[in-house]
Amino acid sequence: MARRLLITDGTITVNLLDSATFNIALNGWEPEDPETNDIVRESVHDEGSEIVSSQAKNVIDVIKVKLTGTSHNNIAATLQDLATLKREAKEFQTTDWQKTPVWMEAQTSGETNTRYYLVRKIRFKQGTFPYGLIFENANKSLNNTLTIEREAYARSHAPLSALPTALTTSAAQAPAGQVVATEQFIANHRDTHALTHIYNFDASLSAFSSNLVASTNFDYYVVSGSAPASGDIVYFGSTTGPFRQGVVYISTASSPATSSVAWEIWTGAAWVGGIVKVPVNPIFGAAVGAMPIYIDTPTGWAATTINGVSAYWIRVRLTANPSWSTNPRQGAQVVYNPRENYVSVASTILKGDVEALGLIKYKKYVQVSNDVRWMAIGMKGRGLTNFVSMLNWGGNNPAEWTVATGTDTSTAADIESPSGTRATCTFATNQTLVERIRITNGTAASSADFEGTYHAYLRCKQVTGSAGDVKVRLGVAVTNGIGFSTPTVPLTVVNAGIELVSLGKIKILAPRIILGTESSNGFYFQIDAQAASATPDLYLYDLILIPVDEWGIVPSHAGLSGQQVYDYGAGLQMDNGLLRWGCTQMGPDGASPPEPNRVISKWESRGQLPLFPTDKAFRLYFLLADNATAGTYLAPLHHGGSIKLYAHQRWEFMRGAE
Amino acid sequence: MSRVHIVHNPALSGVAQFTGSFGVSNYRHRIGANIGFDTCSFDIRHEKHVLEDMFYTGLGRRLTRYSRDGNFVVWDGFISEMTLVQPGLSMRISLKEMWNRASVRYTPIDTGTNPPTESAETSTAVVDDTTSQAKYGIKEKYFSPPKIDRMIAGNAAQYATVMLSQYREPKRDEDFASGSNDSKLTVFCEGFMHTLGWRIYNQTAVSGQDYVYVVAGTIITGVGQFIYDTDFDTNTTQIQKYYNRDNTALDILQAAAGIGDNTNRRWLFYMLENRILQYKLASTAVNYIRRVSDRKQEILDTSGRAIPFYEVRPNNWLRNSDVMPHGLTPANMQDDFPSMFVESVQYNEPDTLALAGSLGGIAQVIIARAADQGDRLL
Repeated sequence: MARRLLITDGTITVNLLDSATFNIALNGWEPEDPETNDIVRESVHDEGSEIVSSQAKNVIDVIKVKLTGTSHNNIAATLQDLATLKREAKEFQTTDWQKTPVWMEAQTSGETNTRYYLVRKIRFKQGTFPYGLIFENANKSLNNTLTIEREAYARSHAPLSALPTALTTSAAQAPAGQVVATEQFIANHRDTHALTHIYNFDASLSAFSSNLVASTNFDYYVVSGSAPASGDIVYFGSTTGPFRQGVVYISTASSPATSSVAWEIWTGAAWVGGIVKVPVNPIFGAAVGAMPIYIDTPTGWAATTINGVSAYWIRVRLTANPSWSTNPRQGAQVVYNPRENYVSVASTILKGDVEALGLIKYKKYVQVSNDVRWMAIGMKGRGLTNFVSMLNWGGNNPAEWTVATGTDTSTAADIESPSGTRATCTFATNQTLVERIRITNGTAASSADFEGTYHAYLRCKQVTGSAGDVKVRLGVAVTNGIGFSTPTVPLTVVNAGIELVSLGKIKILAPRIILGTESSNGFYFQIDAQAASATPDLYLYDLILIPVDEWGIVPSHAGLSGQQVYDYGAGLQMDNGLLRWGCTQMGPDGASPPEPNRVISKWESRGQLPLFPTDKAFRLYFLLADNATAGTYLAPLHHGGSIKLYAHQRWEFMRGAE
Repeated sequence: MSRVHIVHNPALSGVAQFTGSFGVSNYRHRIGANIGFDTCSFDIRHEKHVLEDMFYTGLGRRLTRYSRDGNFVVWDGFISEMTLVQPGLSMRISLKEMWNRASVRYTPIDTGTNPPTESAETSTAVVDDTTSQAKYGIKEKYFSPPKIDRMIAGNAAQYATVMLSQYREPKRDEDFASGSNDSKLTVFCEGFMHTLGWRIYNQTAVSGQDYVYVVAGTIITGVGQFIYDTDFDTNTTQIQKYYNRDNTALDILQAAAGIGDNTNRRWLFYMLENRILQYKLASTAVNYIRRVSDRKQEILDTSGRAIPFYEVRPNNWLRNSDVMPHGLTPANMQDDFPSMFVESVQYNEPDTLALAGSLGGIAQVIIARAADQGDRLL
């Protein structure tokens, strides 16, 4: 490997290992680790002190270099390059218009990969008298001191350069052998309603295909080699309950890339359009790649029998002959439906010995009846086996969870609810702040996986009455142990959709109370609610736990008009210095399929910009909401989209071969 | 360095939209039990033109700081004053001495007789500066001339107009100081609860009594221009509906809170996140626990979570659990020596926390009742 030590802006380069210009002196550089900004506390009543916060400062490298040139003018040109980089490094920080960073690249002769450092400041001190013999006659300046102040850790890529390859990730329902494992689809709810059946139906033959749900390769609409024609249908169904999204992967696009189709659900009396939402450009089957399908507020959706199977069905029907020479083909993975709100990164994915700088790229494929104006993201790197972020009050939870209704509360079928069932509190006999519902985890090992700090949100709806008539709070308690409650929070709207209520921060089990081999009793969550009268009803959908103790961020619009992610191919980027810093709303780039590559506006970055842990598996949990009306957050189940993760891996000392 | 988010004032439709995120230094905030988010200040160091632009356009904008995970509002309010420091120059602009609705309270005299005869004290019709009101909201002042408050109606009306013209825009002052060589914008913010002190509440249409929270709701409907919503608990204590003494809404609400309830418990009006005015019974149980011999000096909540200092809030009881550890815990928090009611929280970045404690208000309620002046008497 070639030795490497240089400063550059990508165009101008000052090579510090070039005997014709700058050349590092023998033992001229002794790299060191960063000093830290520490907050240290102590008590006169106890021994020692402890660090409660520690953040790395910039590193100041002092490098002894020789400066050589063919002439004084040649040396002047070299110094002018250095001065230009010095100025650019300053202006990159002090102005908004200097967008080119200056960075340092380093690599030893036996080191496989290059390290990159964002440069903050450059200073240079000439060590030789410019009118002395050495400089006059030999065109050399010895004992020069180059001081470079740079970011604390080495990166795997040049700062603010093109994005690296997206990280390989996974998701709960992502199929084995996923064609593109760098993009995962998230749900805005949790349930267990997997797709169980997919049929092609040939109208002319009046025949169905076999169940294709487990098939990794099949042509859409085709039954026994038939040519797709008007009236042919693809059915997607679940016998376990209503589902809210699906993901197909087109491995072979139709040719020509045109067709006329209708997406429909069965409402008990008819097949109805306008509820199933899919991308419009390209249309279904017309381009290679993943394509999500969303069921948007499926009022009246009912099970029906197709090909002898009673299930919740959606279908796509050809409304004209497509005249395809090539049929759209699913492959080489199964069709699936995301049903959880996280993406996972395996422990082997990220190298480096310091947290990686991260970029989270969110893409909203489909325009649904709510936009995304707010998002909460939290990281969890422990207790991943049994932890679930969303617990449904209507059931359909992991087996160790049990729901028990409380005062004036019962469950009822509700197609809008994550499980197809909600809990309803009528306040008929008691309007005071009492327990309305409880969900209990009785398994010691499982409950230990919930140890941590979370921000708790409740999805619910006040029906009838006046806004604010209903107030809720969350109680958390270890079974047969202590309990505590969050403050009460009033709901803000009446019958206006699924409202998201922020209940506050909770801690499940005290920090470090559980050691490696210990377990705890189970624990439970309960919702207490009160109402101004017996008039309003409260619909309870689910409890959402966003982990916040390892890392978290809340990207939010800032209340400006146009600050919503709504379009096909629009998205967000939460970036910690790969391309920029902050949360940025992105618009579709006009390509087919569109990608969220056009900058729209800066969002509020509430919290820390992304930092990904190294050498450990972790998950990012997501919650999406709309905030079209100030103070009111709606979090419907038809929100969703895809997540890609990018990282600049980092090292404290050397990078090596990773 | 912490970051704050600054946006246009969401309660004002006529202001230019703005959003910005700034790294700030010298951040500090105060939160009070009987006001909620009280004050906050910090320095912005940026390019000269950015500081100047903020100085000229930033008054009244909303300021929010979030926790490290982004889910928790550490502080929320509006920019009430700024000081722009440049080498040799210090410029200050403030909403504090501004008002854009004025009236004069005076005793009318009839100069047709000699000596002139006086009639009952009254107020002139209010005069408004709608341009200023569109930018900052309504901030009103009822002047009572300090000595010569007997005057003819025309003079009183002119006095109101003159005062309005002098104070309708934020006041500025400048200082020159040779030798200073700094460049920063020092921003002072107040919680939205303070805006209830901007508005006079007079209600003379009906008399009688009603529950505190009902009267408070009427007040907010009338003059709560920056209040997004209310969250009132039920307290059957009643107060009068009739007000005609040019008191501010803030004064009336805090006096009403000071009356407490019929079991001598303390109640509070305050505003925290989301501009929601809350009327709640003051905390009666320990929510924070710490140990004086804890090396980390942590404050834990009852679940054992270490509360970051910037997330600590008043209206909570804090117990120093290793102070007088053998004392048996009494039934009343006021009798518990190691415990204090957190009246206010002062947090200074990066790690300084000052909690002002009290015994939680029984004496306060009694005194407030006697004085009818609310919690601020103490």
